[in-house]
Amino acid sequence: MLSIKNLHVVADKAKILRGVNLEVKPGEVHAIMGLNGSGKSTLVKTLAGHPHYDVTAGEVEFMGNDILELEADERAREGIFLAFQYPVEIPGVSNSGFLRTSVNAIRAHQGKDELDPLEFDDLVREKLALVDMNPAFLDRSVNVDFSGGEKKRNEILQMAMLEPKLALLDETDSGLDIDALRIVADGVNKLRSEDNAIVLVTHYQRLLDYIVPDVVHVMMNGKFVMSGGKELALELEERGYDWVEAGA
Amino acid sequence: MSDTSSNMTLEHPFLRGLSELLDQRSSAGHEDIVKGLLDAELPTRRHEEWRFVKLNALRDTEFTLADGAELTAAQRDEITATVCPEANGSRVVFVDGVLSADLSDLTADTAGVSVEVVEAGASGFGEVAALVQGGEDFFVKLSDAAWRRGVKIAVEKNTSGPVVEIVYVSTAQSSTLDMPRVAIEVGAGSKVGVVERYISLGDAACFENCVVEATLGTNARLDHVKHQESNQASFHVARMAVRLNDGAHLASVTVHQGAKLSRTDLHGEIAGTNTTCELHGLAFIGGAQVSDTHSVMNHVSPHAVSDQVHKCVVDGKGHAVFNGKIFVQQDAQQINAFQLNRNLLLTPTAKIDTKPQLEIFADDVKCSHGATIGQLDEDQLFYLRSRGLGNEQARSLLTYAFAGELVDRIPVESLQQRIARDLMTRTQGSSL
Repeated sequence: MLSIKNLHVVADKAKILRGVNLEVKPGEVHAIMGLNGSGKSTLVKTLAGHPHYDVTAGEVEFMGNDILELEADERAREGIFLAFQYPVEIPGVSNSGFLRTSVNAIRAHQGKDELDPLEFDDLVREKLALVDMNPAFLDRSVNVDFSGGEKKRNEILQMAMLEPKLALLDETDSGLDIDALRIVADGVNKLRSEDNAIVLVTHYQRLLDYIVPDVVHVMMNGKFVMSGGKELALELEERGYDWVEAGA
Repeated sequence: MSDTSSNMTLEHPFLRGLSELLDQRSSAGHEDIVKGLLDAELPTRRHEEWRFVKLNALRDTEFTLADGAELTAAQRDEITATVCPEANGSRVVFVDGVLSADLSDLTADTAGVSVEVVEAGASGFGEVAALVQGGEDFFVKLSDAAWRRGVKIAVEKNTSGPVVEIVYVSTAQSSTLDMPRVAIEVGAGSKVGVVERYISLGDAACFENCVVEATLGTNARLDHVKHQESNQASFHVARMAVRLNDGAHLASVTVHQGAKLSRTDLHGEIAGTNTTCELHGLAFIGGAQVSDTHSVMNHVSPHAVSDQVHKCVVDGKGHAVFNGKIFVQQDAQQINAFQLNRNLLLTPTAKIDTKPQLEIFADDVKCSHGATIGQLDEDQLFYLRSRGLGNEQARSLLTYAFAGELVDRIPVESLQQRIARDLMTRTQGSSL
């Protein structure tokens, strides 16, 4: 599904990614761990098409196609979704209007009919239940005056509505208390299937208790220095990153 | 001195065009007003209040008096399609300065409410308007000297008044001028809504010089909306002054979309305690349009609130100006004055001048003011695009969202929805 070869990325003239390689197959969950500044967020934002990051070398194929020339919205319509570490507040744009515009933009690209307001309402109410959100959130401006946990749940609600093939979760667990973490993780788990894949970035092993990864990668200085099964996360939790560095 | 300056002034095509009107008024016993006007000069950029805009194009155009026009059925339909149903029964429509009997509808017969069209010289006009720029404003003087027909709205005490809609239609087949004039008096404990609209049917450069004045009695409320969509060759000059007595509440929203040059001066005379004065504005312009708003909140009494949010969205080579003054006089303690001017520039060639001014002579007051100038937020754009919205769609949505805060404040639903639709269409067609 996703194939990254020797990816190099520069932002503000600083080299951030220095040769990332990654293969993700449908149905898989990959976790990326590592210290602050190692390049984890840069990788997922680059995949989503953030204009701040320049790819200086390497290839990224998604569903067999080169996506590096695609704009962020084109990538989204192809089925890539980024759950933001810091979801953006947009005063004056209602959450429901935004969601409907977004769902219909993606449906149009897939050759499906647009959802009318009633169909949209049915769908969104079903998905709200998935992340235990009050329908009142739909009438508010996007992320404005949402708590940290509400913002993260709103991200997962969008993911549920857009049904991406590849979901990139950028520290979706940060700032969540244990109850909120469970709700968010349950939501993500219900969206897992044989046809889609998840790449999640996290500092903490605790999220991986709920969303169990197939592969764990450790990023250091802009590249993966170690990969393993879910046990690797536990080992990192216990021993820190120093031993990885020593081994790498 | 005065002879010389009046001769000089009359050399301008602009005032030459006024001579017919001024002659009529001189012969009607208003020589003093006319002489006073001719002694005044059309302002230039040397005047502090006119630093940011040039009136050369106005000065160089000879306008003739608009004097009624026959409308085609299509034009009639165009006007009818825009009226606010909320004001059925309380609507006054002027076409080229003349009352249109068949487009107007004054059938609502609310006890204690009078809406009438009066001729110049009627009582109730002039005193409050003189508050604008301390009575020294050229355009108020011009209106005083030259207005012909005005609308007088009077609501007796303890009366729930209707929404009154006043529509100024310019057929704009040639360069004509009009002097719209409105006086509103809201009695103690009463309320009324007033919608003031300006539309053009043709493309000729016209000149509208509007003066609106209102007095709000004790605990009176006025909801005022103004929508200006004159054609893009026109000059629109507007003055509004409101005197608020104890407990009164003014909520006013002005939306400027049209005109080549619009210049608005707003004056809130906050003369009573426990008053609330809201003067909100939105300028949504592009091309080579200029929209200049000056405002004065004059707190002369204690315990009062003034609230002002003025936003400008500027596309193309447009130029928006905001100068918001807040005066808190010595006796006006415990004032809460809030002013915010936010500006969105959609192109590198768009231009903003903003100048908040606070002059506070009392010591127990809370005043906050701020001005921002910016482009669309890159993080917001990326967020929307990462959800599948195209660049243009995302920009349009954010531009509309910026302006929407003021559209939401428009209290007349039909007009609010029409402006919302119109701005959405306009953002989609923006040059980006």
